[in-house]
Amino acid sequence: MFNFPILSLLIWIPILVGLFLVISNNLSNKLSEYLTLIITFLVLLLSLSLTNNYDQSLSQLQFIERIEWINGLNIFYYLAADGISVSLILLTAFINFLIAIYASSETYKNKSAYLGYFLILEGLLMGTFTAFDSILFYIFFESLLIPLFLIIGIWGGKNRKYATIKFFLYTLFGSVLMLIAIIYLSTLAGSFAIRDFYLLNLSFEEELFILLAFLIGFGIKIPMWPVHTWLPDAHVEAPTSGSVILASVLLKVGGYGMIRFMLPITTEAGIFLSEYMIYLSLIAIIYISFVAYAQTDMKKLIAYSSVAHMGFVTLGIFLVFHLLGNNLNAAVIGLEGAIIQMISHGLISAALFFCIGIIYKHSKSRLLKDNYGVVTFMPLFSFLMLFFLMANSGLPGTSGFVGEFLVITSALGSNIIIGFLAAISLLLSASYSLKLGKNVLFGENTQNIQGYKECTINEKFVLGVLVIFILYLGLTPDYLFKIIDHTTINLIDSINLGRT
Amino acid sequence: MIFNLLFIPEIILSIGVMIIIVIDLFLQSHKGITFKFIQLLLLLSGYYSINGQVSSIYQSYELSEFLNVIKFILLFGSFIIFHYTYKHLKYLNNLKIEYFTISILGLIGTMIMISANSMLMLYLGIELLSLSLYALIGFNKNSSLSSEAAIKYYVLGAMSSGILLFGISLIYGFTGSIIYSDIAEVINATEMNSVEYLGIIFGIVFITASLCFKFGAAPFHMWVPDIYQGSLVSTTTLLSTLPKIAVFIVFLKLYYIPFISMKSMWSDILLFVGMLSIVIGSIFALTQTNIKRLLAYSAISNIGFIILALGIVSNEGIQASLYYTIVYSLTALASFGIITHITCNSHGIEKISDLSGLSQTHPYYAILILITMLSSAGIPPMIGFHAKLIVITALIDSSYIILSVIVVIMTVISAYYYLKIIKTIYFDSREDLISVYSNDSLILSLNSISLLILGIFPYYLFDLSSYLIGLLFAISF
Repeated sequence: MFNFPILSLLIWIPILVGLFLVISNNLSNKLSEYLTLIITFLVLLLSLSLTNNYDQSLSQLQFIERIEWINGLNIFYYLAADGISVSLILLTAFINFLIAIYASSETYKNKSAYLGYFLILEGLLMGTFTAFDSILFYIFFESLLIPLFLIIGIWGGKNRKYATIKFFLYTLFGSVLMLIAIIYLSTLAGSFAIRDFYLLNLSFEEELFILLAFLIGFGIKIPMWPVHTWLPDAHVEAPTSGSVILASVLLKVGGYGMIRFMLPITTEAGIFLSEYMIYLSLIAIIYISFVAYAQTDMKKLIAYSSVAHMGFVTLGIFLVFHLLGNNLNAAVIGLEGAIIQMISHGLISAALFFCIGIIYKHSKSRLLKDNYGVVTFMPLFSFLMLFFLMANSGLPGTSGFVGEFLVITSALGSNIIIGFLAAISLLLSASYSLKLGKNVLFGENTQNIQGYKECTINEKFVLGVLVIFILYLGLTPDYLFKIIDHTTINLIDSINLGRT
Repeated sequence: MIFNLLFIPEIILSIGVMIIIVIDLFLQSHKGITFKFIQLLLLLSGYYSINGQVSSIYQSYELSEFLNVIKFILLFGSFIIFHYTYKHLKYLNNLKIEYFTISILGLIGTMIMISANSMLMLYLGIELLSLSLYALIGFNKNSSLSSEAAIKYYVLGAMSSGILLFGISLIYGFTGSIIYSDIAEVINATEMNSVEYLGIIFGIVFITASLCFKFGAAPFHMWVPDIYQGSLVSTTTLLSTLPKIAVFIVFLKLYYIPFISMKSMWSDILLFVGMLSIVIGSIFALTQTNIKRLLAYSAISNIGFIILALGIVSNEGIQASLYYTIVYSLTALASFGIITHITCNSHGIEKISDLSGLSQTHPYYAILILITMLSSAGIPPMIGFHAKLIVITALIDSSYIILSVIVVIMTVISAYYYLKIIKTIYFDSREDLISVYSNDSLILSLNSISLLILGIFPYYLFDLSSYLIGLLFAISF
């Protein structure tokens, strides 16, 4: 129906242009900015056309590209997309376009390389979300580390060397265990295709070990409590655009992997361990919210808030295990909630990190105590930031509400206490979000801080677009539902069928 | 027939070396021309190795298609090494053609080692290689470290040769032959737990110990860091590639042809040696500040991967070990090649911190090092990832799950020090003067970038290694 290698283009156009920008060292800033803007816009258009051509009524894979890659090992260059992939591709293309706009008004040393690494990152993310061969997936998944490592390390803050190495080794450790699980599965299945893993009949012990390997790998990436400690460090040291891409898209790779690998492959072990994994998610939601409240650094506060919000994603995913036997509808709701929460958090956290970047640009400090009374200097900006903080705390009408509401509904479907504990977090996230707003935006400017200036046109555009989309998803989440609906229902059904 | 035999690379190289020594006498002031002759000689023997003949006139010397390809790889590697060496020696004002003639003698030694079909021929090859290495390591006469390294390698090398001879004599004593194929027959016919069987096991253990020494595998690795540090970078480049390939082929031919029926005896030894090398190579490298010592430990851990893959005793394992050897040689060539190209404060690079801020002054070289180090660390999409992937797949195929878990954890640990180098280059600020003394970096660029290109298209090397293994063994294990 659609014989055009659109997924390959989504991956390789940004990577090749990015490599060109990195290698061509003397390219002028203006030229590299325009090139990045054009490419990210092109990718955004491509991903929109992908969404339009995606047949929402079908649940099978679409846009399949499958070529033999390493024949000796039976590894394929196998790209495809389902509803979950499409929604995350759209998010990636959109956020990267905003980053290109935002970054073009900033000054960095060696800007062409900076923009180039972001383009490479965009291409690799597209690859991660569309690879249906597990080794291909792993290659994209691992390669993500390289550009991000360099972005944080070269353009980051004071303590960047420690943060980058910690982040790299942490995630590498998680993913090599996952690699062993993948290879083990492939020796049983005789192929590396992810879909073939679904059909395996694993013994309970095998499933348990594989589940643990995946849990460590994706749990570090997402990140779950207690392996989240790399994230605040990396966020604090990263440049603004780096934080944005890290929070809004890179963390989603972990959630995506859980849905793609853990749910269908290790169902029995997941059901066995689901209670403990739900506790871990609840700890992330509640305990990390308290930690966020105690932060004195704005970026750290939002970083911990990200961990807490990703707790909802893992909660939604693990609730599926819990609900499989008795309440399939609630399971579908939980999974859809998790996916919508991923998309919505991608938008909201991006917006908040942009806001903090703008404040930091003027005051040169990320600490709460150094930033007071922004509202008197930047009224429009303060209004927008307050809106994003509200969305972060899950205000109805914003996209933040939809995902959390669905996950809580699903939690109530399984156990009233889990639902209650998850619902508490709405209160907690409101308290730390409002604390940030109260101090930074409306606090009394006792130290007579000057130098805040209203946003530039680029910044206004970026934040304005984000407001529109957060409202749009909050008021009519139907568009997103339609994309993911068939895929999730089909996934849950096939898992359930596989059990019986 | 005999006339045809003149055109094998070993003979061409031997005659060529003599001619070059004479040419050098007359062209003392034009060493560049003599070097062109050397390159021509390598190309010529490369041509005859790839179009070489297959013959088995002599029982103790083998000329086969498989070995011809390996000889071509050796010659190709030497071509690149000589290219780097020439520039490096010229920069150090220490350009002597003797360096190259001695290296070629060592190269002939490696060819004899891999072609040997009898224990004595093997010993002769190893000795020829070792003798030229002693001279090359001590080549930098003005450096006390270099002399120390040469003496150390000489004493230890002589001892390991003694152990090898002892092992060979045990094998000869209990099987009555030094020809590989005869030994295989006798071992096949030997009863388990007989006196002969025990004697042969002892022989194998001694030979293994000696070969592991030549390979630089733990627990016989003590010499590696000192010798790498003491000798010139160009010698280190040679040391870390040619002898490793040759010793690997010797391992392959010895263990999988004459000793194959005793695989239950030696496979555990090789697995243990391989694991120990990986662990020691990864952990001891963490505290190194000298880049040559660091790369020495990295070599130990890479050798560990090769031996581990050999110890699995499966088709996948053999193929993985050959693949890993080729990838390792390419990576080592690139990483040492870059170091020969860079100087800091007009001396060679010694400490890792000498490289700090390279990305600001020489971004292109920084990218080359980035690719090379990521490949060594096994991060996709570089070729190093595929090499490690294939070894781990072979391990899991043979149900060595625990070993594979240890291996990947060690990979994460070793990633730390490769990252440290990248960190120094990209994130640290420049303190010392760094100069790259050659703008002609075409071969170096090709070498480094091939690590990325081959990583995206890994099937060429994969097909090559499975083709080679198919040539060597018609049977499966």
